[in-house]
Amino acid sequence: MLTCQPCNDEVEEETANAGSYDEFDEYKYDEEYEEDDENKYDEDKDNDDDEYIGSDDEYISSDDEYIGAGGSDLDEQILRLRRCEYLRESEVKLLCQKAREILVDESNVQRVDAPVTICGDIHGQFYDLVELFKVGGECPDRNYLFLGDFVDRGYYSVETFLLLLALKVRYPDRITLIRGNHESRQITQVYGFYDECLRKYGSVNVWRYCTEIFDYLSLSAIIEDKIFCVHGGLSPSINTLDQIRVIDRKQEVPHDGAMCDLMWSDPEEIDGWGLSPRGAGYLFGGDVVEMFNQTNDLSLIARAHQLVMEGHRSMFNGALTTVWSAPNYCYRCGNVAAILELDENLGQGFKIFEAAPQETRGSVNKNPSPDYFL
Amino acid sequence: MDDDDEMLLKMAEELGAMVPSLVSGDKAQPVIDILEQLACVEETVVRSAAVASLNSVVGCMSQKSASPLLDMVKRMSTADWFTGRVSACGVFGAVYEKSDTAAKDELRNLYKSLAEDETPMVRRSAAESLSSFAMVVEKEHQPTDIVGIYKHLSQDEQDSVRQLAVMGAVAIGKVINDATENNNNVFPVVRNACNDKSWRVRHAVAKNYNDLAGALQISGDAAVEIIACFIGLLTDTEAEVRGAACVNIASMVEFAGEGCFTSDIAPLLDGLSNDPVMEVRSKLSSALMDCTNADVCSKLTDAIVLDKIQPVLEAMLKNEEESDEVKINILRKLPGLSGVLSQMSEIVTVVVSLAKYQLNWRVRESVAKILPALAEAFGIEKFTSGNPSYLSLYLDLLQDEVADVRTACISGAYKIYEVACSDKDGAAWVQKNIIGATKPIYDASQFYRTRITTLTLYTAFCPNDATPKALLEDVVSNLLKALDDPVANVRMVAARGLLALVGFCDDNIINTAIKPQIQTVCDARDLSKQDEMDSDNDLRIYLRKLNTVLEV
Repeated sequence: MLTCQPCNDEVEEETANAGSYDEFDEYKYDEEYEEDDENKYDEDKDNDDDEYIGSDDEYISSDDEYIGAGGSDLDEQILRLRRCEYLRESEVKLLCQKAREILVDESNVQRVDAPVTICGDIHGQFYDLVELFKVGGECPDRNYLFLGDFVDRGYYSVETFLLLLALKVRYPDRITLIRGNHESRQITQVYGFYDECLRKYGSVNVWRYCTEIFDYLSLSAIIEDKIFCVHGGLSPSINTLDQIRVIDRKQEVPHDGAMCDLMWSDPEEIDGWGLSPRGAGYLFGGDVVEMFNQTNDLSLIARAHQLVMEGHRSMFNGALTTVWSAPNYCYRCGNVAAILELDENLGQGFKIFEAAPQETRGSVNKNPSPDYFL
Repeated sequence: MDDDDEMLLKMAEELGAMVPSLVSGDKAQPVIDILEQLACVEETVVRSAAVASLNSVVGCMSQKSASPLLDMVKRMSTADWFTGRVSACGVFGAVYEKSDTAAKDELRNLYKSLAEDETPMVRRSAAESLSSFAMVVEKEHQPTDIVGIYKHLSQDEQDSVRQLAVMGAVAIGKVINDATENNNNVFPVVRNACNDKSWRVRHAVAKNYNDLAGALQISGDAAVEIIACFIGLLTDTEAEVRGAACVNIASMVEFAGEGCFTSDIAPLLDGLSNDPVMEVRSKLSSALMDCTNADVCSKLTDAIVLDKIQPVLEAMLKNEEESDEVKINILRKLPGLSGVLSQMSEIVTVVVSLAKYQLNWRVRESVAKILPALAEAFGIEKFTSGNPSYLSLYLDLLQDEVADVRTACISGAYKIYEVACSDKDGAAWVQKNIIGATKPIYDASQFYRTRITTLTLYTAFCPNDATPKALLEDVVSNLLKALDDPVANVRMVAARGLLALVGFCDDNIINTAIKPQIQTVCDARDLSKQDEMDSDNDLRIYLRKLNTVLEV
């Protein structure tokens, strides 16, 4: 099996049906959740034009003042985030509002120009993201495309996602973020982001703002009409890119169907389609990729979603490539990470990097040792 | 820690902050009473917050309102449950300062009884707080009372108590302030700790040996033993102890002088640099580099550095088995050695070869940062010539695939230019050897990375208005040309560079070169479309700023 997801017993493979949480109860759960909370806010799943995030009494309209203006505030916030300091709740709220203004206009198949650097899963490994920028060059001098799974698993999901989001707001043309299967309310409650928000802010408001933004993230990207980029893979219900373009993406990641498959599927050395051990999405073979690439006149599918010990792996005679950008995944897997650099003529070059050395990581909280250690 | 404790913790912190801003020091007794209760609870963090608050509140009180404090200390010191006695140790220093002579006598005796408490937690706390208590006790009571307590605690059966106790020597030594007294009474305890059967005690001493040695104020012949103990720690059986001792090498040389280094420490370097444990070698490499840094250690002459330290560094750098961490420790501090670098040809050769064969980019980054120091040490002539020359290595690293290595090169560019200026016409040298060498690569590049690096480099040569006109013109013309680059990022970097140096340009360059070109570029782009999200948004922002500057 090419998927080497569980490299260690303690890093179990995630499934759609995560933990003890019943996937079919998701919407019911959300509704109950909202009703119980004083700060009730609209799910606005049906109404994309609805203009607010957060509670009614804190309504802020989406005027242009939030775009372009406050650039220096944003620069200052980016500086703080680069030092791994997280933003205040009010700042997160405003940042998410600005981000939504930008993301709402993006296509489900967002067009991206070469040259660009493609990055895979980050999973809250903030200091390794900093290492990624040290190796690949800073945004905005370089263009980036992140293939999702910014949060969960690592210790710094909040800082990681907010830094990427702040860069997106500051330099919308220089960085593209698309959605991974972890950019979901349900998954983040099991794999760490929810708990991290609660621990760092004492409330789940920041988690709410962020998960709201997840719904606006694009589903895929296409580079110079030739390279299709997606978090997971293909779907049996999708033959053409136009079929992706018409999906209504502003919703929680569903449990089946095209949108779910794009984020959950994995390539496999099989013919046609297979059942995924993850419980969501499908396994797809080389013939499926060949057909999809031919139909849509593509030269390559770039995706992430699966841990690769060497950082990247090419399959099906180079028709598909997996990029993984979380070195030493979960701080224990011992893998290297990679980013895929495309030059202006779509020439490909992988850059491999290792986890950031200990000295560059912030000091861990030191609790005084209790008296009873004697 | 449950919710109640969470609340108590906040309370302990806030009560301390109330005095003196809300409650004046002399009316703080009710606050003290509550804090006393909090200082006796089960939860450790609540107690330590309460003790910290007690200290700050007592500090705000005057002597006349301090009489109930003695009773409080007595109550806590004789509490049935150990938590009160643990907290009591922490408040002795503050209360002692506010007490009269009779009360002080009592407090010293009380502390003695706590140091002999049957519970190790209490003795541990007594050992931990001994320094703060010793600081406020009068000098005449030091030899009798404090040193007695100190000796007692440092012979405790628990190693964690001994470990904390031995550090009391720093405070006690300073208060006693007498070399003979320290040598007779305090140092023997330190010496015993160096040979303690628990490695944790030896580790604590090794880690802080410089502070301990300095506080005792012993010098001359008596210091011989201090050095002997240090040598013992450097050759300890436990790697942690050896490593911790290594960290102190530079400061101990500063303390004991050149003779100590050549006769005592230098003979050990060979063994330590081949220590089986990497941590030790890493700390040694760092410490040796500190020995060569005059700000940390001024006692070693260049001759000793070259004779005794250079061979060790060279061996570590040459050893292919040696870890990158050790090498990077050395490389990062090599630029500080520019004074003697020219006499370290062997090391320089190794350094240059490291950049070529090292997979770890941090090694290459360190080498990139050394190159300006090499230019300074050897002069621009030697930097340029030679086969392969340092210049060619610099140009190679400028094309390195890792962004931070390229950035390291660019940040050293101006330094190299300055060296070139001190030798001859620096601007001409840069134009010929750097711009001349990078321009063909730029023109042939298929990758925006190369062009961005090159343009940033060119801009780095003109950080102020002292740049000669010929060089400035060369750089400006390259930046202007790049405004037409097919890749948006390159156009943005070019405009950013122009904005940075347009202030240094004279009217001639501005009017004949910059203005017409900017006008052409602006005409092609509608500057008023500020919110349109196309790929030239960043360029447009810089162009607008440039226009503002040029108009003025």
